[in-house]
Amino acid sequence: MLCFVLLLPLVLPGLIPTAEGSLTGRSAFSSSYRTRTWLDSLQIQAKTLLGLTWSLSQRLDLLRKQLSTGRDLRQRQFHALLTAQSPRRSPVGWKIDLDGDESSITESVDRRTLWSRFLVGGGWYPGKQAYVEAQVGGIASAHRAGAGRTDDQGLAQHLGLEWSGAGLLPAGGYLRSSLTHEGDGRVRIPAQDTRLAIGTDWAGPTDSVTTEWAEQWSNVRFFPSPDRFDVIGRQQRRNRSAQVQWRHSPAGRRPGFDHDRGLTVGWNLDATYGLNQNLYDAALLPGQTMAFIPGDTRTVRRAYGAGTDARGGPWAFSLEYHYRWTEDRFGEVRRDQTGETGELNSTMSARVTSTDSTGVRAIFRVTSYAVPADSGFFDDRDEAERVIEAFWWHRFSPELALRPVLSFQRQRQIFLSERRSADNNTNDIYVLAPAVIWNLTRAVMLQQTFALRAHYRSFDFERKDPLGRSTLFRRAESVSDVRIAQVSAMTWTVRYTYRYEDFGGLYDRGGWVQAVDWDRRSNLIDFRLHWRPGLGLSFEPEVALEFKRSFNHRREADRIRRIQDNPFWRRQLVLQAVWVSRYGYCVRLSLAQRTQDLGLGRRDLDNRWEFSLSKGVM
Amino acid sequence: MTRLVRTMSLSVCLVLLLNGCAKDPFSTRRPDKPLGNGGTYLTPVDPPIAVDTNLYHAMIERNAGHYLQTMADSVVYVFDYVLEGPPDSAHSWGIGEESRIAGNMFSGVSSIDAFWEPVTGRVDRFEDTTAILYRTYRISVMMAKSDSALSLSYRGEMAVTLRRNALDLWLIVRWEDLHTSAGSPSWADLKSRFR
Repeated sequence: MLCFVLLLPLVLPGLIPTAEGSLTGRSAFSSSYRTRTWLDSLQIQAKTLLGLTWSLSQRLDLLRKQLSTGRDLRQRQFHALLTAQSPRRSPVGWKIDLDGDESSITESVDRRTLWSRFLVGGGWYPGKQAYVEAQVGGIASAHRAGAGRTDDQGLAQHLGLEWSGAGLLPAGGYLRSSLTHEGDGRVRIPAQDTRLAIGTDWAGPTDSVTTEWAEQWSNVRFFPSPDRFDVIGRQQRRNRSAQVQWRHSPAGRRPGFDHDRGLTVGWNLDATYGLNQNLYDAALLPGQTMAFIPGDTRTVRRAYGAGTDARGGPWAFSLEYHYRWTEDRFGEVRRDQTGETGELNSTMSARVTSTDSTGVRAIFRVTSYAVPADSGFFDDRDEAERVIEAFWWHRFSPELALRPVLSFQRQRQIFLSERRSADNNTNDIYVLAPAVIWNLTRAVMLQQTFALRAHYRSFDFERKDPLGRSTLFRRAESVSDVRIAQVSAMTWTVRYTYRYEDFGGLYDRGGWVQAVDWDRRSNLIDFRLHWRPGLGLSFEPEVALEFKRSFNHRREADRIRRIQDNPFWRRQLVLQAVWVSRYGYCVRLSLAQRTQDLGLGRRDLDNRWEFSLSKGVM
Repeated sequence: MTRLVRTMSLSVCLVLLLNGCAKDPFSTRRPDKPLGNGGTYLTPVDPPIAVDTNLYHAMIERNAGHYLQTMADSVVYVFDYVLEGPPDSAHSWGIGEESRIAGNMFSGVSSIDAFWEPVTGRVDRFEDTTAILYRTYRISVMMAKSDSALSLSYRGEMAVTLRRNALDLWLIVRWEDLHTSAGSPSWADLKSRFR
């Protein structure tokens, strides 16, 4: 006690916070159907009189749900991390971390995992971009499932190292390097994780090169089942990623604004290389058995790319080619597959006059997958895509603009083997979408968008049906928007959407044949008000009404009859109020009611409400 | 002139480098004629087609291509917990992990049998550009490994959120999986075996 009293004057300044610090937090509760959720998070950072930095981050998620079987499911996730760190003024410092975690699921069995860790250590901080940190401590966990329980503990370590800066490489290069290691020395379920990353940047008058390389290893032991603690699994992971990017911009030709000529001119040449490799290996420890499937997988992704872009006067042009190679291995050779993608991507746009702009975008892409001849799991297949899109923008006046967009897209999916080639299909999609934007006055804005879309889908090996219409999916859409901001604090928005859909599809009937097809008309009205009366208050009521009529086309002997389906309607009311105080606190209340027609006079009613209190930006 | 020569030589080197590994982005290979019945993949113009037809058949046929085609690149797979498999504090993963699992899973089992139907008392939700389908399912798999010739069963409940893409086709953007009984493993457990 005497010691505590004597030490108090020394400890107290390290606890008294100064005005320097931050607080962010959010607490929210929501309820809908048979689910209630409470999410709570808090982050505090404070500096004390002695210059110490304290930070606390905490998160609690609670969920209670009644399942369709009548069972009650409760879940709780809690995590807290408290960190204290010495002032960064001196090159040598210390750091303490206290970490705690609880996760529980209660159904008919109560499963709970408790985990806690403390780390104490120090570091050397010679500059802003270099440090070495090392911490050691203890870790303990408790797993429970019903009456079963197992406890475990051991040593914990953390090592962090970073070394970055200019002048560390020749020719003015910049180096970034870091190494982190986390060790969990629990006796039964230890874990190790190490990550090493190195990156460089060189920039000359005409060329620049960026490289990144990272390697991560982890070795984890775990309980494969939360109900059994006698069986232990092991998982080893290794991830490697690399990236190289080269950019060539001839001197004086770098894209930019030419002040003398008033033009944007120049061109670039790029080349990139990327690698991502993952190795996973999972197994049970020797001598143990349970219904757990061990296995190892290996995935490799390599990507090469080259491109150029150029600008001159009103013209802008870019052309890129990308090549990707992928390999997936699933433990056995005959379950492998490799993939190759070639992609050509080009855009060209021009400002024709002061009121007109136009442009074209084109993408051509083919991906081919190859598998071993005797593979029973994957198929040789090609996926091809062609997209050509053109747009034109005309501005009649500063208040009135017209933008028609015309596009064509073709997608082909091809399975090479006879086992799956019946699925081979082509999708041709034509789109015409003009839009008019008219700012009637400063307060009133009108926007009208039309979209006409024809989607032809055909199968390579389909059987023609004399009764069937075309295998066309047609869609027309009209969206009308009116926005009125007559009073600065009040904005009214009304949107009306009309949609016509007409589908004639194919179904598998021992070979593709025409399906029973349909057409549908939807009407959707959405009315929204945003009112800010002042004092940090805002209200946002919204009403949405949707009505849909559908017709099925049924076959009757030698003709097709159009029969109306049950009309569908839904109504949604949302009331939302937000108050933001001058100190940054935000209170939000939202109520929503949704009614949907189920036919035969039945309705489905869903009420949802949510309340939240927050501080700071989350 | 020197600069031009240097630029040209750099470009030639680049072309030569790419020539060794380039692939023609315009050409596809010739397929074989199909054997027997037609395929099973339908244009997902309605949310139930994506889930009840395409996802179902992709599972039965162990077709990784069609399986991944039902999902958007931004898909998130969320689950309550797993009873087996490597530990992970996160309760979700994205398309990268899903793709790896699909490859592992379809190559690691010799047959899959599945059945799913709407959840009793829960109505599918259809909005203008999104939809949520609720399904209860049962899945039986026969493991391919000769040293562990096992037949295993999985059951649970899923809430699948779909979104209409730019081509007006429906793709899965969120797939939530739940256990329906404490002792019975769910789809998340099956996937977790192949992580």
